[in-house]
Amino acid sequence: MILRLFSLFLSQQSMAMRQTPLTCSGHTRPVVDLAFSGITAYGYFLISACKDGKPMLRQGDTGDWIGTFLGHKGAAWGATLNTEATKAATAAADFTAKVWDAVTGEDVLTLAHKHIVKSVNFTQDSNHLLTGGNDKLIRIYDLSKPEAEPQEIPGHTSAIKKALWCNNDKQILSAADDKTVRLWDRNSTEAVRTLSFDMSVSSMEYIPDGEVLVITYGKTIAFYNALSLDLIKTVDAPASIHSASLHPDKEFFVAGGDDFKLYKFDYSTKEELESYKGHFGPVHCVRFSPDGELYASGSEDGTLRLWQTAVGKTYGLWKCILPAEELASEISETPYCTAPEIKA
Amino acid sequence: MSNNSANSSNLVIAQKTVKQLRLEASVRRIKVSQAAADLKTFCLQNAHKDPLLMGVPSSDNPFRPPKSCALF
Repeated sequence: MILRLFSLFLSQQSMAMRQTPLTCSGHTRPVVDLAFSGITAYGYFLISACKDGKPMLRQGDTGDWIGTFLGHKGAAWGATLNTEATKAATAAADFTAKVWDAVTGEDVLTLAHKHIVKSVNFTQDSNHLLTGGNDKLIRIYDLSKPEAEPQEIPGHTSAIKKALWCNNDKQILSAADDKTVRLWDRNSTEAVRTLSFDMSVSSMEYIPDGEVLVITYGKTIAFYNALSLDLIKTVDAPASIHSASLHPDKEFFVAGGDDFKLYKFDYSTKEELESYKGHFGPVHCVRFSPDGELYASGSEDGTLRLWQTAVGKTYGLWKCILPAEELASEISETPYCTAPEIKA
Repeated sequence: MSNNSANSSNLVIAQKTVKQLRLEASVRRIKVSQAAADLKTFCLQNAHKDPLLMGVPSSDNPFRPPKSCALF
């Protein structure tokens, strides 16, 4: 376990404040996906998918490691939690998606696929699971009847990167390597709208409150109306972006990509507000917490970092120190993976 | 019978595994953020006793520069 002490120097303008993120290590390979739960009676939680095949569950506001889901035999490409953080689902390169009990860590269900599974998403009532992967099919599993064949939606002509429920679980949004994003009606399984791009979409985020879709491709972060797929605006970043997330209040958004930095932009003016260095590798995923107070980033360097939205505010492990005292106040913590080693 | 000895060694391995897992499950655990805070407090409280921070008194230091050399 490593303890690092950092100094946080407060200046008169909040813009000039240096931000020290909470670094969460424990993963041994790149972190490729992360998701927050909703706000529960116990706070909110964070799940991270890693190429080491061992997704981890963490306390959302402190980054404290809670548990590791053991069972996948290949890299985990996608991970999600249900709103109450009672169930988790993961998508892996071992051609399966698994559903887990997030309270006990037990492997509840294994859903076999015909190729690498990349994306998993629960409906709001946690009764259905959406999966998408390299077999180009979107599948809907009824979790109350796991042995039943899933409903399959064909149409994409290459590997699906992300599949999300939208419009109150009545529709499905999917992004694939065929450079399209498609909106499907769940009942008719027809593609209602299609968006085509010049290059592959690197990530997609759906914000139910306000029906906004955040798509990243190349150096662009694009915002669409999730119901009509009409373009709202696009913003260009200084480097190739792998993932972006919009703040719940829609005042700003964050993005990260190839240059290892996290960028913060004003949503209305499209102006780049801040950029933060910290990661030692490309940033693969960025997500705001459900209360918008922090955002988490997962990187090729195997760490997750939690960043404050309002730097200097007292929240979680961050403490606000008044300018009169120049002091170290922040702890950077590094959880360890305690998958029991069998010493036979 | 080689099958019997294979079975019994599997059983022994399994028993050892269970014993090890029981030991590991009974380890006292605290949250990492709590552990980090405790470590930081410990370091700060014991800083005055830390020879690396406070220096070693010359009388105890075996590597102090010699004042004179005696030749016999």
